[in-house]
Amino acid sequence: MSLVTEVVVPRYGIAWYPWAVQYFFLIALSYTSLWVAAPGIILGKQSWLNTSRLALLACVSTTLVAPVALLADLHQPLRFWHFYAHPTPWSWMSIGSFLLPLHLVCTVLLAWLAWRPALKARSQANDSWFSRIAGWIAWGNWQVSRKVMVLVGLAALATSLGMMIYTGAEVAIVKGRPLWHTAWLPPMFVATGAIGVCGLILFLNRLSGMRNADTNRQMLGIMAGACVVAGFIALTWFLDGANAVSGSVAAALDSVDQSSAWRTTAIEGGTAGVLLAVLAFLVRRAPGRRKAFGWILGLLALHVAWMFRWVVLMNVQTVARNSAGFHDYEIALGSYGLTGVIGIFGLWLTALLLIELFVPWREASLDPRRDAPAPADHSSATDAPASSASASADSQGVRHG
Amino acid sequence: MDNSRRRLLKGAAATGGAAAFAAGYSGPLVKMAKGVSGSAGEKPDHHIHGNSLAPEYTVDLKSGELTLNPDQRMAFTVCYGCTTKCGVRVRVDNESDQVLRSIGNPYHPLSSEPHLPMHTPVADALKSVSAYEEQGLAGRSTTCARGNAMIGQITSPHRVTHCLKRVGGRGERRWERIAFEDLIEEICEGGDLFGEGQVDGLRAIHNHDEPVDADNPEYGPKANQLLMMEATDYGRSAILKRFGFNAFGTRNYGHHGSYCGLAFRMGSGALLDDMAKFAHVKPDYTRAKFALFIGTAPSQAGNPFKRQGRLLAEARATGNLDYVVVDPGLNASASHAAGERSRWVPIRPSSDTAFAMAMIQWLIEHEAYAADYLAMPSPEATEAANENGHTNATHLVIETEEHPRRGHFLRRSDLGKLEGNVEAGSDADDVMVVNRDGELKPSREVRQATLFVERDIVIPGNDETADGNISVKSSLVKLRDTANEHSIEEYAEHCGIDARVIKHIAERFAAYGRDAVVDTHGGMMSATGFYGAYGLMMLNLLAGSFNRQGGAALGGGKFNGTGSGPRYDLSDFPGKRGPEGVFVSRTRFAYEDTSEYQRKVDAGENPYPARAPWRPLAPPILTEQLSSALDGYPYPIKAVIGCMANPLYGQAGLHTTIVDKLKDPKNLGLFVAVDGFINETNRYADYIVPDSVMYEVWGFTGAWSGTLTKMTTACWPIVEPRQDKTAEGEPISMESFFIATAKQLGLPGFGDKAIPDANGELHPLNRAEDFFLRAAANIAYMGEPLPEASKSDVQHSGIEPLLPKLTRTLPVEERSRVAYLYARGGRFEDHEDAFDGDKKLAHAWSRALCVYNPQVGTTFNSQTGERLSGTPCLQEPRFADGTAMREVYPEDDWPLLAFSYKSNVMNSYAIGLERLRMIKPYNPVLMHTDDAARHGIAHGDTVRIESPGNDALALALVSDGVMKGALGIEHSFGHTELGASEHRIDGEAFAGNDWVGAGISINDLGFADPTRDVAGTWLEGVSGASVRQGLPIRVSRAEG
Amino acid sequence: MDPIRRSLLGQLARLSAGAAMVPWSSVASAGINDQPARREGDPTKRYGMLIDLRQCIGCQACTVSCHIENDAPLGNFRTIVSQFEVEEENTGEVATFMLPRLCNHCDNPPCVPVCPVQATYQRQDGIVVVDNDRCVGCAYCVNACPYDARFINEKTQTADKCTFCAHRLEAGLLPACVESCVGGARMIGNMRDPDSEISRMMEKHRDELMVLQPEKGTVPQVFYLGMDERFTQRPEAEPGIWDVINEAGKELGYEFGH
Ligand SMILES: Nc1nc2c(c(=O)[nH]1)N[C@H]1C(S)=C(S)[C@@H](COP(=O)(O)OP(=O)(O)OC[C@H]3O[C@@H](n4cnc5c(=O)[nH]c(N)nc54)[C@H](O)[C@@H]3O)O[C@H]1N2
Ligand SMILES: Nc1nc2c(c(=O)[nH]1)N[C@H]1C(S)=C(S)[C@@H](COP(=O)(O)OP(=O)(O)OC[C@H]3O[C@@H](n4cnc5c(=O)[nH]c(N)nc54)[C@H](O)[C@@H]3O)O[C@H]1N2
Ligand code: SF4
Ligand code: SF4
Ligand code: SF4
Ligand code: SF4
Ligand code: SF4
Ligand SMILES: [Mo]
Repeated sequence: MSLVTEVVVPRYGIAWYPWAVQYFFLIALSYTSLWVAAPGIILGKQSWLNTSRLALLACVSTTLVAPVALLADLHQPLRFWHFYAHPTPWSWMSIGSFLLPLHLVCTVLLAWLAWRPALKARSQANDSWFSRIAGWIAWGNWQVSRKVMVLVGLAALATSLGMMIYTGAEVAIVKGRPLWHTAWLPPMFVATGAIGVCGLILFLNRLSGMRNADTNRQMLGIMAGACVVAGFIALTWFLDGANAVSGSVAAALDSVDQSSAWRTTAIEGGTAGVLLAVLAFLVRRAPGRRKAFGWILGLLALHVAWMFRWVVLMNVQTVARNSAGFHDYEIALGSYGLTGVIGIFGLWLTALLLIELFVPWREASLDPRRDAPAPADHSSATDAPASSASASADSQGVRHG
Repeated sequence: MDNSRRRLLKGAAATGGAAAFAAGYSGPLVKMAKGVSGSAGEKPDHHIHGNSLAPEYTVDLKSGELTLNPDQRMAFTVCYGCTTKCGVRVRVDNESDQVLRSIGNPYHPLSSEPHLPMHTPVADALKSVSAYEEQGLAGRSTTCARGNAMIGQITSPHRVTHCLKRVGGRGERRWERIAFEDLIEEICEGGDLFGEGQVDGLRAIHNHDEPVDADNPEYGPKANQLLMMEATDYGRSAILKRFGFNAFGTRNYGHHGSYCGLAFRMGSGALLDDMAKFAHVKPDYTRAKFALFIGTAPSQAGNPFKRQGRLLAEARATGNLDYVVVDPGLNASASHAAGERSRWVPIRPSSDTAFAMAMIQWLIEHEAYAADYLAMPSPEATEAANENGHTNATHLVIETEEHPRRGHFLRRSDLGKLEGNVEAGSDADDVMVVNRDGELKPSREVRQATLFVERDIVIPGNDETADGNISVKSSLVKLRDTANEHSIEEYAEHCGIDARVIKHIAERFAAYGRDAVVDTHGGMMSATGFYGAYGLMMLNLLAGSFNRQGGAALGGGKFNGTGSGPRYDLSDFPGKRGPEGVFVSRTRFAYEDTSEYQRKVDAGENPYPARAPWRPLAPPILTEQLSSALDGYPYPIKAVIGCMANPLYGQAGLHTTIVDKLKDPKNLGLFVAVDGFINETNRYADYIVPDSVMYEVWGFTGAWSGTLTKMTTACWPIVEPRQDKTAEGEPISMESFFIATAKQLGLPGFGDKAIPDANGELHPLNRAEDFFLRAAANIAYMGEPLPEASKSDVQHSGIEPLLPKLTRTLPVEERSRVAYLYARGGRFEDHEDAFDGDKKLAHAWSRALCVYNPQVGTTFNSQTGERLSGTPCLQEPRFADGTAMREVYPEDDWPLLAFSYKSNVMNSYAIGLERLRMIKPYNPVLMHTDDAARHGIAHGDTVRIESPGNDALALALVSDGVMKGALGIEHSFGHTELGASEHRIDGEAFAGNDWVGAGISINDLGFADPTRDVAGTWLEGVSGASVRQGLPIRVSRAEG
Repeated sequence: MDPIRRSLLGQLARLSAGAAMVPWSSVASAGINDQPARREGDPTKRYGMLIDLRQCIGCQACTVSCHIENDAPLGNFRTIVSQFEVEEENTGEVATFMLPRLCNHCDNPPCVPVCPVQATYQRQDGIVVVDNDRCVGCAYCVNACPYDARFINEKTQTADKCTFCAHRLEAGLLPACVESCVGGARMIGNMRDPDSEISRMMEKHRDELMVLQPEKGTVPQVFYLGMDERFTQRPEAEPGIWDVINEAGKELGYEFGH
């Protein structure tokens, strides 16, 4: 029996809503996807082109949607301009508020530049509205040099690093929540972000019908690596803190010790991570399995990345700070709960589909002069000829244009 | 799939996504829409201070200059947050007439310690609680959480503001609105009011010519068939009693005393030799050095709640006081932060007589009593010794069986020594004691008498006893005899406290000598409470701590304005009646004096048991009134007028016992409730008259024991009452209800010529203030009249709205003295007047303290025919016919004893207040770790609690903070009314908030006494107090 | 918590409370998450509170009067008093422990530098306040305060917290919680004035005073007398029962949940 029993203790609600999870999820996908887009789109590595095109799509869509989620987590959303009226260089969140638009501009600019050739091409095709819209988006017939694109790309990479650092630091400096207050949290955000983005690209690869074999292989490889890294970070975190009297490990052990829900979460989280690593490793090795299971693994990876953020951001807020036990948090149904979560996913889907509809993103390229993309290794990179038909069907309009 | 179909599908999916987004983002979008004006929320008044209230005044920290906020006023009045009735200072917004907040009245001893002298100008009083020279830290004058939250009563959505008449059957929670004047007409004149047949109105009941029962003429007139009930005197009772006793002339009136603390009060009364008013004492916390709290929980609850809490806390910090709390449950009194200075000792519920007798035995055995003090047999002796008050320890009790005065004290008349025209048994017929030389002497002639006397007195020519002798014992011997009936170990076994611990407590108690004090109260509401309280108070007597600084203090009493005062006579009027006959509660009347008894004796039958208990020592008790009246013994009641009372919630088992009978109009024709709310009791009323609530009322409340100075709190409607008005434009309220009813019935004492002044001239009583302002004048003129209020006083005390009423009601010379009183919220004796020289308290109890109480010792139990013990003694919980509770409900079947304790934040009617519910929304029940383990129950589990009367579900708080074998239930939860259930008024929904009904009430686990014929709940034998401590129960883990 | 660890923390608790009495020299605010300069307020004052737990009776008068005075939404608290049953390790005796909490007006308040728009700041008199007009409601400070002293006010949609009732102090009055403290446990005052009541009490009880979570380096300025060092941390306790049911077993949940 404990020596102390609580008779009257206050209850506290959560301060950050699931919007925060959505933001941290999308923004991690955003900066990590940019890194996957980099080899093909910024550095011009042919073998990565297909993967990078998918990544660029992922990057643009997540970068556009993430701030929408972030805005919603402000209780005074329309006061967002205060961030710019009162710059506060000592606040990570303020720093983030300046980085975020930069990042958005850079990534969107990069994508736009990468997509422009194809857009211009489409604008000349006879595809009624779609051509016209492509023309509008392309916005003129001018060309930028490849150098400029690389520069923009490098800028985007820089902002993505900024995003990585600020989102991690912003949470990790919060002493008030021991579970957050650890130097190992930011790398973990990155590792799980990488896992998530691999999953996303695997999934998009299948969904878009591209079914690019290289992409599957590349992503599964990185994913397996990221899993190992994540495991390594978790282990170091644990060892680093296992003997400490306080700090995030102690807090985590307390939670797991005291709450069956936390035990379940810990076991589920751990299992999902290990399972993912093992599966990634196994699936990566055989092309057949890659083709068949890649996208399923992709979904699992997305799930892991999302859940990690949910646990870190939401569950941690339920750990009572000044009393024993845990505060009740039941995700609400409405806007500040489940519907909100779904809404952001809905917006993301819309963003993806709008791009899909109006932008020939499959032809993204570093080469500003290329009119028609037609990757050289297009058919060979496709896992199955059967799917190439559908994949090429879409690109036909452009090719013939 | 062709391209355009594909695009169409994608477009559709995109639209779907967008729609999901729109739905999901609606919250932020709404905020953004609101945010266009600059804020997504309400824009607060100030960018830093938000919506914090504007200060009521400012004090310049350098000069001390005080500036009032012209938008607010402050007024002094009384808090209705609990029966403590503290004097408070209330901030009101002038424009909206909304109460903003309340805080203590610095003149008031229940809110501040020390309180300010009355002559302090009000402006200085306001400064004394400010930050100026940090005066407010020491000068703090407070309201507690409840008092603060209570402002919510005024605007409560559950408040009744219209006259209501029931629709459908009683208790169906359907009502219609009715005009006040129609309501008065209907209840006075009667008729077929509900389509259920003829109902007698008050006019028909008001019959002083015919007896209520011709066979039992002592019962009195038919007019006794009106029962008046109320919670307690919240300062307005004088009007209710004027109507009931003296205008209408009914015998039957009851208040909550019998289910509040009557067992304590009567036990205390037995010791103080006050079986009429049951005076009681409280520790003088300002100077106490060692206190034993048993069955009372200062700072958890207790009267006066705040004052006790404050002084106890202060004593803990200064280190002046050590104390032990003996209680089945741990509560706020025992403070961990105070370390060893406070200690909690768990005790089994309803076993306090065992603890008390063990202590008494130890103290007597170790001669650890104030021997010299006890040996003083008379006021003369104590006066000579510069002491306050004496005891009857040395008085001699007649023990001889056949002596007609057996059980009484031996007096001069018993020795045939009465001279002159002295009446036998009168004060002048002095009691005899044995002096130090062994001689029998009248007490007045002895300075120090022999404590322990046991002898036969030879009386020449005595023919009243067989041998002509009278055997006597001194009171102290009688006490020693009862205390020695069992060993300390047996007592220990009984109360569940280790004998060593009891001895240790006794040693500590004794070590403090005359500076040790014992206090008790609500814990005595068990089946052994009367003797428990008597026994515990005996410890104060043995220690000799009565009437002493730091000891057991009577308190200063009050300035009574509603009697016959210096300006007006508010207790007498032309045509006044005095009630006659037997109380329907069968109290203050010996069964042996009834016709029923006589008939049985005449018929040669054993007169015992009476059909139901008669309790000659007890006051009229509401605990018996309702159930007895519904069963018609001694006689039925035809109408009940209840004013803010809630026995169906407050009395254990009453609901189960009477509710079906109460619903049937055949058992009770008319039930009118005057109340601010619909509660568990007036839910069954036929009519509800809306009443003023706190801060809207007139009245004068008195002081509590423990307040060492004399005081009276004044209240007046500092905000306009929110309920409907009468045709004359007065707020409908208890006062206007009685005035209108009396006028309708043509009763004396109300109307135009009702209140005589000192010259015999008659003044009207047509409005509440006609009565209360005149009472105020009485108080202002008592002793040395109060000075006149200054202009500044008037400004600083918010009494401007009162001035026109003063002008309208009082002659010019009285006005500004009365204003002086209202400007300070009452009349208060100065703090230093509490104390007298030589450790004496200024206000002392002068009657002999009883080691043996002859009135108790000569009273018979109407069920068993046995004599009551005149000294405290071990008791076992029993039912009315004398059967032990454990015989009917053995421990094997009912292993636990439930008890209740007051909530430190709630009270019985506070549950409607959100600001208290948000802190304490619920009352988990206290279970001991071992009991929980035995029943397979874990902390936080849902448990089913079964009693012989009912069962209920609750959550278990498992810890060692409760006595093994006991289950503690915090009182004030488990409501079904006061907002918990939905009512329909004119077809519209009213109230119905589930959270108001959260938790559990022990009273729902109460039950009818299984040994009774005339139904009644389980009541303490001597007093008839409700038994709510020590209810037999069993628990089990509820599935799911 | 094992005894060694606990006594270590207790030691820390004492040390930091002591350290707070030495004027806290603010770190040059160059780096990220460093304290910005204090602004507004009377620089000759430094307000602090001392709570004598031996005098706290757990009556919650402070809780409710603060709630009313400062118009907090139902279920949110600028101050509240926790109540515990505590078993003495050595004697096995059980007693009640009351612990009032409010904003500590920390000398190194972690809630301040995180604010992205400088809406919350520390005044020169030490009072940490929120500018309602500027606050964007990001709740970052709410998460950053280790003491749960802040919340988002659902009415204003901005961060809310104890202001030491600055509006009353400025008017020459006492904060609501102090003036209504039934036990007389709460004391507020200017710690820069050596003659103030609080300075004198702190001088007198220098070695006994403790603060909450001293190891966080926040340097709280609410000091406790009569504190059990176990409670300077999140207590190891049987958690309070937060469910709410009625007699029929109907589950109701907390009425004022957010
Ligand atoms: N906070 C608060 N204060 C109040 C009130 C309120 O409702 N709330 N109500 C006011 C009123 S009306 C009154 S009468 C007073 C009463 O004030 P108290 O008498 O102090 O309070 P109670 O809770 O009635 O009972 C006191 C204690 O008796 C204990 N007890 C129960 N059964 C037994 C027993 O068999 N033996 C012993 N030794 N102890 C037992 C209970 O656990 C409880 O702690 O408080 C007043 N003050
Ligand atoms: N189990 C258990 N039972 C107990 C107790 C306990 O500790 N445990 N305590 C007992 C004690 S000590 C007492 S004193 C009794 C109290 O019992 P009662 O005095 O009968 O009941 P209250 O609930 O105080 O009743 C007052 C009623 O007045 C009404 N009311 C409230 N405020 C106002 C107002 O401002 N104006 C008007 N006009 N009406 C108002 C409400 O309807 C409320 O129900 O309960 C007793 N019952
Ligand atoms: S103790 Fe509290 S609730 Fe009771 S009268 Fe006093 S201030 Fe009001
Ligand atoms: S207690 Fe919390 S809100 Fe107050 S100053 Fe310290 S960190 Fe900031
Ligand atoms: S909630 Fe307001 S005060 Fe707090 S950090 Fe955000 S903007 Fe600053
Ligand atoms: S100082 Fe004022 S705001 Fe702070 S807790 Fe006390 S009453 Fe509330
Ligand atoms: S008002 Fe004072 S005594 Fe009451 S709970 Fe608050 S701090 Fe404690
Ligand atoms: Mo009471």
